[in-house]
Amino acid sequence: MRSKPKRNHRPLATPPSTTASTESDYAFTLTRIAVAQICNSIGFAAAETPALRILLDIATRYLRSIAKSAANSANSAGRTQSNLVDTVASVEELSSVIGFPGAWRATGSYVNSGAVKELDSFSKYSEEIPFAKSLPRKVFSIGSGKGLQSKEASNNEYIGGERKHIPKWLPVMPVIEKEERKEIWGFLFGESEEIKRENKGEENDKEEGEGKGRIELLPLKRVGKVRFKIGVCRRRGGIGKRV
Amino acid sequence: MNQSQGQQTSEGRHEDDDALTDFLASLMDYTPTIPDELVEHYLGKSGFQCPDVRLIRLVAVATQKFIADVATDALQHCKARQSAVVKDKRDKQQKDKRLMLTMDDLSKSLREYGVNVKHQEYFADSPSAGLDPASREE
Repeated sequence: MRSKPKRNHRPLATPPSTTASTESDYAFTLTRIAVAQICNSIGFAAAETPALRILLDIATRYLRSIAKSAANSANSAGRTQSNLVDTVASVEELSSVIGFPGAWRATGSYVNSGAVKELDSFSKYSEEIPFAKSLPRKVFSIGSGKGLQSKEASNNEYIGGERKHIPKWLPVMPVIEKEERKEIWGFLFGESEEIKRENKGEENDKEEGEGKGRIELLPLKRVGKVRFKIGVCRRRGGIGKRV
Repeated sequence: MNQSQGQQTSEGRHEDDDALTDFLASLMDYTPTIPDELVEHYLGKSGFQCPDVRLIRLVAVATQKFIADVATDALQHCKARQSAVVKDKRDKQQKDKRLMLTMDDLSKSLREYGVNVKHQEYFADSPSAGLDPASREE
């Protein structure tokens, strides 16, 4: 029987959410490159796309679980910032699945942790492969928008200037451009403009300045007359005006 | 005797302390494959705050080591599988000599690390997609 169930009328459901949809695509792509580099250094010449994807997912989960347990242990000790003890404890916790030398000690010190010693030998004896491309500094930091939005001078204000009390995660204060011409409607503008021009001693500019002043002033005599008449319009039954 | 033991442990601790300090100092010059900014991004997302670059690199090295261990195990599985290929298929073996990270090897190696990977073999467009052409005609 060829007939299909009703639900097939819908388009195929989106695949279950993986790292790609939850994380930002940029971080996802970067981690993918790093994981591919590690695989290449081990000796693989190629990788299946889903296999690489799984390895990448595991790498991000590993990072996040280290961070989570380190942050938890810092918080339970009454600190906001994690330190070496928290980090070593979380590294030990995650490497306890496979095991590490010295894991049998129930109350081992962070100083002589076997997991950290393994990391030491790993960093010593493995080939150092830097990331394929250099990243701009603070590309991920939340406060980086400030550098983009404001000028350098105003950015310095946030670091050590007048606005250093404003936390970094807040958006930048909008820049209000000060208007140069404060008196537009009064005569002050034209006069001050003239004085400024005279001080410079440029006659041509002075004429232009006078011209500008005239333009800014309202004309003394108005050319056309405009009349408004307000009365009751009987036809429509409302107040209307006739020009 | 207690005193001598105490001295030994204190000396041992001192050596360990030096080793740890040296390791942390060596991390300043070491560049992990996972860039610092990326690690910082992921750590920050999970609430890890630390201004020390060395600790961030420590986490990066730990992650790199984990991925490298998993990949090494997968490589061993891959090599073992290739050597187990029937020897009369020499030509094909030559062709497949290129080492490739496959789902089978990866899931086998990840099982040792406590990660159960289950994947669908393939997606079929129609119920008859995977069958032989001869049986499809029937």
